[in-house]
Amino acid sequence: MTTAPRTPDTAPSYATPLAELAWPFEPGADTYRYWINVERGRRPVATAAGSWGRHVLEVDGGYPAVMAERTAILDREPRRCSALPHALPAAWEALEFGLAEIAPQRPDLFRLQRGDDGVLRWRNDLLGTRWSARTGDPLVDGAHPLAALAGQVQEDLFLLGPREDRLYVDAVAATFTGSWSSSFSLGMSFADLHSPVPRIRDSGMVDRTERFLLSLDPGDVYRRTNWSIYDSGRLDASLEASHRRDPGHAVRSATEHRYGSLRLRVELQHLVRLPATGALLFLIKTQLAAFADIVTVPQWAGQLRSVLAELPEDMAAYKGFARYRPGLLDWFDL
Amino acid sequence: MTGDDRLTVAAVEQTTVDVRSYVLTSHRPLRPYEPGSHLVVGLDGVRTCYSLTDDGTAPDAYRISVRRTGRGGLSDALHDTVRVGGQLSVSGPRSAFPPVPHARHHLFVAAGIGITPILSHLGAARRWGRSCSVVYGYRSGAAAHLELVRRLAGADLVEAPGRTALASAVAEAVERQPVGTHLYACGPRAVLDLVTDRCAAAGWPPERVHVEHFTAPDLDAGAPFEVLVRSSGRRLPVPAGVSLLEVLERDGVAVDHLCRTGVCGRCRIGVLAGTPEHRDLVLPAALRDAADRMYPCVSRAGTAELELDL
Repeated sequence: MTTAPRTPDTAPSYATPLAELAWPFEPGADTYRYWINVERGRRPVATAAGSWGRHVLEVDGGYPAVMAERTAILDREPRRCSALPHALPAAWEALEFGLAEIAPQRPDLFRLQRGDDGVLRWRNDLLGTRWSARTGDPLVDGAHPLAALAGQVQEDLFLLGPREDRLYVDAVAATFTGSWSSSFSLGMSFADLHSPVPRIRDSGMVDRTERFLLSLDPGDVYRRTNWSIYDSGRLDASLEASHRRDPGHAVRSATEHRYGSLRLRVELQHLVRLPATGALLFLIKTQLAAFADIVTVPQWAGQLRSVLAELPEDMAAYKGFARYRPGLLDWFDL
Repeated sequence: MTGDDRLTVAAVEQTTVDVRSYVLTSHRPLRPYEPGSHLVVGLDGVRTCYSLTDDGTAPDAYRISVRRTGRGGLSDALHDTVRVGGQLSVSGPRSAFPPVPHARHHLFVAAGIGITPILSHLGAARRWGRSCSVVYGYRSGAAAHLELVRRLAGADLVEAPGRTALASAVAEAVERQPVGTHLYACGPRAVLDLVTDRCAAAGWPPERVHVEHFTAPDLDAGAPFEVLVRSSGRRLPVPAGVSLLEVLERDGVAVDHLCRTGVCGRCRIGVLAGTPEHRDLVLPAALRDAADRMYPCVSRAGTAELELDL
């Protein structure tokens, strides 16, 4: 136990509109296991409450709140964005790809122009951003090009570069990672990055996934979802911010039977093989929904309870709810 | 662009006596590509890979340069039949000869029409400020894109007119490189062998030597073997002189493929048991012993049987 003074956790609570939640469970399935659940991107999926998946980077109803939180974190901790020197071309390709992806979604807010002089101009009226730059400039509006993109989109951004048939983390710009440190992972191999995840390390799945990624064609876009359970609606669940949090909170939440305030944390992940550099742009959009809200959708309530009841103990621990599973299942049955 | 697409021939330029450059455009935006990428061009059922010569970052057109061989084949057919305003069936671009972004220095070696992917690399190196130098071997009076190479490379260019001059230029360049240099070579097989031999003699790690063949070697018929297709449980004999890809296709097993000569890397399949005999030009030196994958258009088996992840 520590008695060191703790910075109060003032991070705002965030809730993804249910109509935009990327519900991570297969229709009709009442169990969940890891598998390479990837599919092609840019295809909308209907859920019991709405739909998701039309775009690769998506400006959703939470954009203003998410961007406010992101801007505050990046101002406070610029190390959340870091890049190896050789990643500049890939970062620029990611920036141009990302801005071109979001610009048409909100023409009332965004304006992207490529002048005849080759200068790229970007304007975001919501955030008050306005800059111009030339492809290849080392800094865009004072930031690395990947950080410049992170400042305009809701997604966490990772660039994976192939080297001798392996992938390495060449650049990161992330503020909302779940229980891991993106800045610590800069330069890591794909295999090392995934070694803490139970069941997948020795199953050959990491190796197969890496080979799949390396075999993607230029311009390919794939996506998958992942999920876990957290005790709060804080977007920034990273290790970088762990010193701001109260480690007893989760246990207390559970022992106080506040199961309705638990959050399903969904990661909507996209993978883009950037055609001009061959780098892989990995995007994570973090979504949060309180259990109390989820159970208002009857199909979701039943499916989530079945999945949580069936999940093996080690996976339940990794997903964050093994300690209080019996009480949680009782809560569903109330 | 996936699958075949029709591109319009917007311009044809006689680059040297026997090389023509084709500018291909589309009404749709053209996808960017990695330096060193190639386009697969199809004509009358024959498909051949041609290197794209621009840096690929924001292409307004796809440019390829084709040398007339005088032996028939697709290159000669392009010279004979393709005119401005015509259309070409292409797929790609595909990347099989990319730059290594973290290299400390890039040494480019081109011989003859092998200048085409090197020109693309050179343009990208200049665009991104990567340290590079070029050795260009050619026959006097027949050097494609020489003026452009001179302009882009400036003082970083060594010109080598003739095979002897090229051999000594390569030998000198290979011995003078700083640690962390990656070498990229494209040209006839004899030149590539010379480059790899020189690098080996100078103690280069093979991972830092990248070669692009523009002609696939003639392969012997090979010994017969058998494959077991995992999904169907079917056992298929592969006779001498018949490729595994052909055997799979005849049995109705779909395998994505393009060049059929072990160059493009498209037909890669997984191997679950047995040892493949790699005869492709795709696998890098460090992976020549890999037993978990193969390119069935040219590669065969080193064991009596292979189990395929299909």
